[in-house]
Amino acid sequence: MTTPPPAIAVVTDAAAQPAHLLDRAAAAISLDRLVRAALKAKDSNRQVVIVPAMAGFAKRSPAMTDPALVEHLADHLYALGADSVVIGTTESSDAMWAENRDVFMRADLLGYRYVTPAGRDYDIVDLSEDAEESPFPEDGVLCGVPLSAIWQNAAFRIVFAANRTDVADGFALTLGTLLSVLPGRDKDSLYVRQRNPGAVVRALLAAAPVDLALIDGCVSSHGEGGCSQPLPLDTHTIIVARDPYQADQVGALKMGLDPNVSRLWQVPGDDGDAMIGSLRPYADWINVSPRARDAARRRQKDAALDRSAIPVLQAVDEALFPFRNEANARLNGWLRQFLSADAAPGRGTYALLGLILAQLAEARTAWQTMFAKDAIIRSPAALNVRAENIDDAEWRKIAPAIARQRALLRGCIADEEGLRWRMIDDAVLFDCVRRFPLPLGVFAAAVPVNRTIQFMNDYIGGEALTVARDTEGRVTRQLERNLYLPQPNFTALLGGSVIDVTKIETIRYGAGRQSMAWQTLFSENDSALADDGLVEFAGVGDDTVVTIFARQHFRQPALVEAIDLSRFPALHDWLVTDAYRRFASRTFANLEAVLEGRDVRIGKPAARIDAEEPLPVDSLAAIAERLRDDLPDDWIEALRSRVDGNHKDQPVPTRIDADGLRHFSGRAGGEADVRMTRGAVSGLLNDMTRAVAVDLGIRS
Amino acid sequence: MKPFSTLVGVRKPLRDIATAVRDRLPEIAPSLADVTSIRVTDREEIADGCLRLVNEWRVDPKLPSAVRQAIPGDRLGWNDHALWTADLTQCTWRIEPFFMPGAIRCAGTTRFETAMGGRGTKAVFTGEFDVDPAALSRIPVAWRGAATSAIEMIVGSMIPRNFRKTIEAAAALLD
Repeated sequence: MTTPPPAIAVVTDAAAQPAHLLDRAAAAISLDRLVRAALKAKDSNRQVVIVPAMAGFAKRSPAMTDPALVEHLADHLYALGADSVVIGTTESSDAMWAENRDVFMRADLLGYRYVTPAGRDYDIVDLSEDAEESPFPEDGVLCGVPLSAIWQNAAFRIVFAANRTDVADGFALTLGTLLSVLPGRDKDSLYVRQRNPGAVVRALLAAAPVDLALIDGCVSSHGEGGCSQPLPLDTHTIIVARDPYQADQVGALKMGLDPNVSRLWQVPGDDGDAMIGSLRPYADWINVSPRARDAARRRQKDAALDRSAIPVLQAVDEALFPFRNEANARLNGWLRQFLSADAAPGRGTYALLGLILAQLAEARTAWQTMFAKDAIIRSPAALNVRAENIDDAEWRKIAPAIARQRALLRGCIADEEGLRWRMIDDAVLFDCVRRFPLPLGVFAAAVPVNRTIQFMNDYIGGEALTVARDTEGRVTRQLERNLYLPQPNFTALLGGSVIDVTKIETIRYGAGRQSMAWQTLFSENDSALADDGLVEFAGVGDDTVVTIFARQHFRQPALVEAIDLSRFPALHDWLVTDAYRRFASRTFANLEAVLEGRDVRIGKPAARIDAEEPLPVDSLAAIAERLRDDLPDDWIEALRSRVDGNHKDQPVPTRIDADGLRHFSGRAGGEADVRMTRGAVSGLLNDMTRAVAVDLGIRS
Repeated sequence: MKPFSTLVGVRKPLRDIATAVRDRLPEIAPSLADVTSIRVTDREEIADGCLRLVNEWRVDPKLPSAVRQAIPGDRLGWNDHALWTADLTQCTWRIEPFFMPGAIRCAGTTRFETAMGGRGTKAVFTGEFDVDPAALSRIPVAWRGAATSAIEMIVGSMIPRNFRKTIEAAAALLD
C-alpha cells in the first residue's frame, strides 16, 4: 500500500537556485504523475496553460512571477508530454493608464522570450481574445461573462503567482492571479468593486478548476505598499498545492497573516490534506498593516478617487511603461521623491497617503450623504445568505416576535405627526401612521407590500430573493439585503457607515389587510445590531392606512458613542424625534411618489456592469479639450467685449452724490412696463384657475 | 540639451513595420491628430543601400491664440531629414522647424528591434532637443520660465506621443 503524495508542499532553501527549488516542489507533490494523468485523460488536446502574475512595472519586479521560472516549468511540462504550453493572461486596469501594457508587449518587456531554456517554443496568449461562451450559471455572480476557450479546454491549468503583499487584501497570491483569466480590462472595477471578488473567484474555479497552484517566493514583494510599491525580499521559497485556496492559505501563513484578511479567500481549503514543509513565517517580512488595509478598502468605495489614485501611487519604470496621461506622469513623479525616500519600508509615506486618501473618500461620501444624495452611486449588494440554510421554524417565528416587540410601545403617545417612539436597551422602537385616500386594492397594486423596504427613506441598494409564494403567486417569504445611508445622516461626518442589513421577511395577505414583518439575520459590515419591523396596509373605508413599526439599533461612530447622548436627555430626545419624523415623512412621501409612478430611488446607478468607464483623469482631459475647442481664437478679446457689452446695457446715473450713491432717472416707457406686469399676472391667474379646474375634475 | 525617449511595441514583423514608417508616411498622416499632411520632398539612395529622405510635415495644432498669432500658418511644421539603414533597423533623423529654424535643435535615432519571439517589433525612439537661449531672449523675462517649461513639456511628452501614434498608425495600415 502506498501513501498518497502530499497535496501541499513548501520548499525553502537559501542555497538552491530558483529552478532547482521549483523542481523539488514539483517532485514533492508528484507533479509528473498529475500532469501525465491529465494529458492522458484529454488526449485530443494536450495543451497546458500557465497563468503567471504579470503585474510588474519593471524588469525583475518582485511583484511578478519570475519569467525564467515560468519558462523552466514549461520545459518540464513539455518533457512530460504536453503538445503545447501557452502562457496566458489578459489586459488589466493598468492598460488604461500606462502604455505597452497589452499582453504581448508587457510579456516581452517583463522578460518572456517565447522560447524555453531547452529551446522549445511557447506562445503568449491574450485570454480575452478567444473569450466567447459564458460558462457561468445564470444566477451567478459572473452570469453572461465570457471565458477563454483556451483556458476552459486546457488539459492542465496552472496558476503561478508571485509572493506579494496587497494593500487591500493583505496578500495577492494564486486567487488574485486567477482573476487575470477574466476578459474585462478594467478588472479593479468589474471584478473587485462591482462584484464580490470572493464569489468571482469561486465561480471561476467552479467553471474551470485550477489543477496546480504555485507561488514563486524566491524573491518576494513585501511591505506596506503591496504591489504598488514592491519591496524585494529574498525568501528562497516555492509553495505548491493542488488547490489554490490551500496554496493561498499556506502563503498567507508564511507571511504571518490570517488568510481570512483577503476578500478572495472566502472558502477555507481542506486542511485535512497532507502537507510537507515549514509554515514558519518569513524572516524580516513586513505586512500591510490592518489600518492601511482598512484605508485601502475605504478608498476603494469611492471608485473615482480610487481609479485616480492607483496610477499616481504605482512605482513605474516609465522607460518601459510610460503614462498615457501627462497629469498622471507629473503627479507620480512628484510623489516618487517622497515614496522612494521611504528609508524604513513600513508605516511610511505610502501608508500615510493611504490614510489621507481614505479620509478624502469618506469626506466626499459624507458630503454627498448630507447635501448631495443624488450624486451617490447606488451600491450593488448581492444577497449574502442562502434560503436552504434557514429552516421553517425561523420563518414562522418572525411575525409573533415582531408583535411582542410592538406591544412594548403600548402607552406611548403619538405626537402631532403620528410618531411614537421609546428607547429600550439602546434600541429605538417606533411606529408611524399615514392615511392615503385610496382603496387598499389600488394602493397595494401600486405599492407591493413586499417591496416596501425598498421605498423607505435613504435606501441605496440591495437585493431581494423570493423564497415562497401563495397560490395566487404573491410573495409570502423572502430574503432581503438592504443598504441605507448612515443613520442619522450627520453621523456620516463622524465616520458612520452605510447600514447593511440582511433580513428574513414574511408577508401576509388578509381580507382588508396586508403586512410584511422582518427580522435581522446579520449585518455584514456590523453596522446594525437590530433592524426588525413591520409594515401594514389596512383598508379603512375607501382609504388605506399604512403603519410602519421598527426596532432599530444601529452602531454609532466611536465619537458619538463616547459622547453618550443619553446623558443629555433633552438633546437626545430632540435628535431621535427629528430623525424619525424625517424618516416617516420622507418614507410616506416616497410611497406617494410610487403611487404616482415616480422613481424614488436616491443616487445614480452604478456604471452598467461590464461597461468600461473612462478614467477620471481622461474625462477631465476630454473636458479641457472641449473647452479649448469651444473657446474663440481670440478669447481674451471676446471676454473683454462681453464685459464692455454688459456695461453698455447699464443705465447711466444722472448724478453721484457725496456718499457715492448713484442716482438714475425713471425708465422711459413706464406705461409699457405696467402693461407687461398686468399681462404676466393675468397669465398666472389663468394658469392657476386651469390647475384648480383639473384638480376638481371639471376639465382635463 | 533636453533628452526624450519612448518605446513602442506592435505585433507586426520588423521589416513590415519599418518599411511602412519609412515609405508610407503620407498615408499615415490623416490618422495623426493635428497633422494636415506629410510630403516626401527628397528621396535618395546612397551607399550600402542606405536611404536619405526628407519629409515635409505640415501641422495644425490647437494653440493658444497668443501663440497662434505669433506663428504664421505656413510656419507650422518641419522638415524631417532621415537616414535609414539598409536593414531597416535604424533611422537617424534631424528635425528642422519652419518657425525659428536656427534656434531649435532636435535630432535623434529610431531603432527597430525584433520582439515577442519574432512576432512583433519594438521601436525605440530617442532624441535630444535644445533651444538657443538667444532665441528666448526676445521673450519678456517674466515669461521665459513658463516658455521654457512649455517647450520642454512639448518635447518631453508631445513628440514621443506622436511617435507612438505614428508607429501604431503604421501597424494599423498593415492590418
